[in-house]
Amino acid sequence: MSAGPRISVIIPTHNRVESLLRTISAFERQRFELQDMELIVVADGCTDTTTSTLERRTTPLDWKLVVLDGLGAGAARNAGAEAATGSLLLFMDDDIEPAPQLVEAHVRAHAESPGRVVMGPYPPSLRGRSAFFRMQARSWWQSHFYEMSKPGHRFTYIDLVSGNLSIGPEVFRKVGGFDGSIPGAGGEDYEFGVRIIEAGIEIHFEPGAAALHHEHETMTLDGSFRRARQEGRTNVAIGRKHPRLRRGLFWDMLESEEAPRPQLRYLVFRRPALGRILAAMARASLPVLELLKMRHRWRKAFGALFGYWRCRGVADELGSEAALSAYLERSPAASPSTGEDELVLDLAEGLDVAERLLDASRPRSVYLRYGEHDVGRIEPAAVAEPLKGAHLRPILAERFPWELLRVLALREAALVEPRSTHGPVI
Amino acid sequence: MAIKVGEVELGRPIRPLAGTEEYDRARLLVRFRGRPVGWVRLGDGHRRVDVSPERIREEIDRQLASRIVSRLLISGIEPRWTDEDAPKCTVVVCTRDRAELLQECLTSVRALDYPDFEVLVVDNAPSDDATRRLTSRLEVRYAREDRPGLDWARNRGLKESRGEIVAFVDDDARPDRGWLRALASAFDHPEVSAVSGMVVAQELETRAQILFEFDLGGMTQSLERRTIRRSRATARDLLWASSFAVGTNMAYRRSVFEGERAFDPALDVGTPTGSGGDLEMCHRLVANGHTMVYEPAALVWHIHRRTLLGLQRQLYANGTGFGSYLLTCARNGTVGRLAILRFALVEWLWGWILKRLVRPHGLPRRLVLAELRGAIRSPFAYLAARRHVRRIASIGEPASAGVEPRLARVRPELES
Amino acid sequence: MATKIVQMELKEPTLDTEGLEGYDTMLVLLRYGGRPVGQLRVPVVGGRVSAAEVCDRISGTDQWPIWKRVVQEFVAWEPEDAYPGRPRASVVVITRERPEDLTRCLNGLMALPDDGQEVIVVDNRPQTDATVRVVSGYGDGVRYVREDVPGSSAARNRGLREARNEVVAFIDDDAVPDPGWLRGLVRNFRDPRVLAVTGLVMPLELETPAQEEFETYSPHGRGFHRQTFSAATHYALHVAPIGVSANMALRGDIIEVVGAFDEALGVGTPARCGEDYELFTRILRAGYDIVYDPAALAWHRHRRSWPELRHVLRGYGVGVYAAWTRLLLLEREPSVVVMAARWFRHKQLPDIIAALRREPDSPPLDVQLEQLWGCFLGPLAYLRSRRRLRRLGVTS
Repeated sequence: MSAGPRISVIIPTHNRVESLLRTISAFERQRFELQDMELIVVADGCTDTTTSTLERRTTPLDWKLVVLDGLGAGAARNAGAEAATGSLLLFMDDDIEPAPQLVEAHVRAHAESPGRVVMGPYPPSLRGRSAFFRMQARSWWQSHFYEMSKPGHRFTYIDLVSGNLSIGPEVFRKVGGFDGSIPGAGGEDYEFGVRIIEAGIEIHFEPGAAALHHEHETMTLDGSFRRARQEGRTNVAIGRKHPRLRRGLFWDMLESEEAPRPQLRYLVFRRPALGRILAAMARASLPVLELLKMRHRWRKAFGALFGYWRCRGVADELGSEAALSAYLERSPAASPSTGEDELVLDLAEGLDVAERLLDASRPRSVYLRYGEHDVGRIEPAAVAEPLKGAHLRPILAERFPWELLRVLALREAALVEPRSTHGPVI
Repeated sequence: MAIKVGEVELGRPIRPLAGTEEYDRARLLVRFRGRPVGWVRLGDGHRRVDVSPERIREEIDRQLASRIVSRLLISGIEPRWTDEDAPKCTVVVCTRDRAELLQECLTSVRALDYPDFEVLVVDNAPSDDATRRLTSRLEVRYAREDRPGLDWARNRGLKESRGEIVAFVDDDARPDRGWLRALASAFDHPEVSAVSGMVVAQELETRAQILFEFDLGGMTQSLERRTIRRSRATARDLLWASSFAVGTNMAYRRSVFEGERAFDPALDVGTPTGSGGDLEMCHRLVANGHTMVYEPAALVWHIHRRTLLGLQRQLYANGTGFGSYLLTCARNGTVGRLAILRFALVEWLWGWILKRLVRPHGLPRRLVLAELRGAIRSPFAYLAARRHVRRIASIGEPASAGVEPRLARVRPELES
Repeated sequence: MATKIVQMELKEPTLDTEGLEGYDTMLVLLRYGGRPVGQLRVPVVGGRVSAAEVCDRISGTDQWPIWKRVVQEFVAWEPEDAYPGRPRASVVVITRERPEDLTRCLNGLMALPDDGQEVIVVDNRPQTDATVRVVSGYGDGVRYVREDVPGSSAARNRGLREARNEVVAFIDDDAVPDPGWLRGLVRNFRDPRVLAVTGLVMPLELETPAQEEFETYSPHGRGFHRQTFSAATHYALHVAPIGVSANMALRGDIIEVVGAFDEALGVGTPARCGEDYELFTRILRAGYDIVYDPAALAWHRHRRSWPELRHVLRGYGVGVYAAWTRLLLLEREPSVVVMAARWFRHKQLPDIIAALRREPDSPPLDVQLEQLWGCFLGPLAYLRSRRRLRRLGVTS
């Protein structure tokens, strides 16, 4: 009998009592010793029957209730972690239903290599045909987890989603927990991801720790746009804390020809009234386009609206265009200086050798050669885990196919010894 | 303004190019196992061109990488040559009073890397015996054809050849060492009756040469091997014989002439038409169902006309020659006459000549005008040439079966 | 005249030039490390082909699929195969009174590497026991199922319900799988967005004019580039480029996700075919993806006689229009009318004009008119088919 629970399951919740009960029931059915689990529900600004229902309900799990005043998902999670006594913190959102082997999978992943952050997949439970925006969201989530499950995936800060995430309490404290000052929900996990990567903590994706996300139950079209606005605000906050990321976060609002939608910046800052009218018109057009099954146009309208609301969120935080320009200007160069910490790899010595070298030195950028030919450079990425051996082959196959082909061809051509059937006449 | 011309073989270490002090640009033919892959251009025209091996490799890498990759893919399948199957070849060089130029040509010909070939020089209506003396000194075969006209000389060469394959090269050109080998390998397939090869500028010293090579299309410069068959070719493809036929570099299976007439002596250099005999021969062979191959690995280096005046004269001759060639096609009925007319007006006169008169893009208009003048004169030149042929056919040797051109049927309405 | 079909492995290139008498063309399937990467045609003259010409054709072809394989082999990494674990498949062959074809197909299936797959033969409304006898020759290796509701859709749906594994692969009984066929299909199902995979189909033989014409006019193959089709980037109703049901795989639970094949469509119904077309649009419209993977190669024996060719092409016309009728009436997709108009204006009409003008390489007029007539009959055929189903007591 262990001295106290090993796993603390922390569920922040806000006015979703039915969904919360479903999640708790799923934890009660885990293929894991229930005595070794404790459940901490953080009711953040709940105005529905959450607290009363929980108090009346019986559960075999050891559980606690923390009540907060609507501080936001990040603060809620921090509060839960504070109240936890286990040796592993498992964060789960209230609309996510874990499969029976989820806790077991998280524990095993940590046993394999302690001190890491483990994420599990939670693809949407929505099946079949549905409203356009729901199908689009489902596709986004599925591809997100599919990418992360790819062997050799290089994690960046935007990979970190906190709906099904486990971390050791010491690591959590060392990193400083979530940023409680970010209000609402949306974006606080990206910011957390930045600090995780900068602290050099390993991120691991565990496909076995599977869950289902019932987001379609509470998701609405306008909810998506509200979330977009929140994302805009959160991005500004993230950029304030981590100035290096500013240009990357707001790449679509930079004053350059490459900016995909310069009109958004114009509409939001300089002609806000016109912007509001156009946004209302675009919003009204969406159901019509969907009825007419004009998928491509619907997608464009949705995308434009989403970008508009993100920009509005940015405007909420920064206020004026001048402030935005100043904010972006004070962003240092995106990539750190190239000289330091760059590894030169000669692929002609063999890919296995190269992988071992990468694992040994974990550089941020790599210069690739093949014999005396240049292949290319793996640029340092803004906030991504340092390179390791498993990253090499996917990066080569996806980003340098042509360079490799060229180099292999030139090498082979040079090795040929033709008979002297000709000679320069000149 | 001159461009240094050179070549590079990928399979061998690249040697630095000599003699480049005066040049600010260079153009190198890059070869892989002897086969041309592409051209590499060096230099920006402002300072002395850098032709160090590193620079050359860099530029090859940058400009030709995809072609090299493509070439390597098929290098395992390319047919391999063995000496045992080498058919006997006769190299025929027709010449007229150009002994020094001929000497350089023959030096290259005798250096050809091929197990079984003979060299035959056909001296066309010479004014002295300089050529004869040269050939006896160099120990190559000599034949003399007194009827003036390049096609008479070619037919004489055909008649006197003893090889299975007859390969023609002009006296102002130099074949690459592997030329015969490449030609013979193209004949490996029994269906093939004629092969032509790539002709490349040996020097790009003067404006005339540069204009000819780059703005006027040069001679056959395509890097892609082609098989030309009637069944797969449109009338337009057939009539644009200049894309697959060039007199400076062509070869025929001698047995073909047992069933086909030889070169039409009304055409080409030395007659009023000035050119076109090579085009007409190749066009007629394909039109009659033979297969022809254009093989860029059969490479010949040619010195283009150095002066603008010389170039102008040549273009004039091209105009008269091409028009006469089309008239000959119409006469022989190889392609429908309506199609020839449409081709002559739309593709040739408008598409090739007049369009460039309107928008020369740096080409001196008088050169285009020269070709136009030739084109306009071509019907008259053609008639004059036919008359000429009838006159001189009566002199010279009696016809021997199959090789001598049968006299063409005279069409009364074209008679003056 | 006929076309000889050969294969060439680019890593060890040898050209098999035996037995070319009587053929006027040679069709070469190019492979790199066993994977199909391209094809070319070379004329055969006097029983010979020129190796030089083969090289020229390779130089002239789209080499990117070859280059991609070269790099993938060098790096020893391919996205679809990088993930651990391989889903298990059930192979379903629907058949009706074609014992020789079925035998050839089953022999090919038995020769596949064993990845834990099961093979099911669905015998659709048999009149004799020919199929039973063929299947019994394979013992436990092949499961026999009899489906009496007529139509390839009903047979496939039965196959889907009988299948025990998570991927269901379909192959026509007149096709033969390549050794890499099943793995080529199955490897694409790791992506959860993918609900269906189609594969490359090459002709097994091109001996008769009807087979040659079929391959020219309406080939089953869709090229050598692996492609993902999703409604986000691809017009959801335009599924012709995606592939054919002669060689495809579906996720085992597809019936719960988007529904089953429409039993009013398909071979054996008045609607003649179109069931795959309609299902593909349904998959895309439900927000899922379809992958076309040329690594999943199957060889299909086209119908040999000219009347059969006309019959098949009329069937295509009927089937496509029948599927569009369903889309218009049941799924309420008005843009099928636009598609029909576009198809007519940009493909059917120019082809007819070309045939009337006797242009070379134009499709034969009688075949085109058959297809057009089939299009005309399509909508009513669909409605008749639905009535027939109701009478049989089957809901769809």
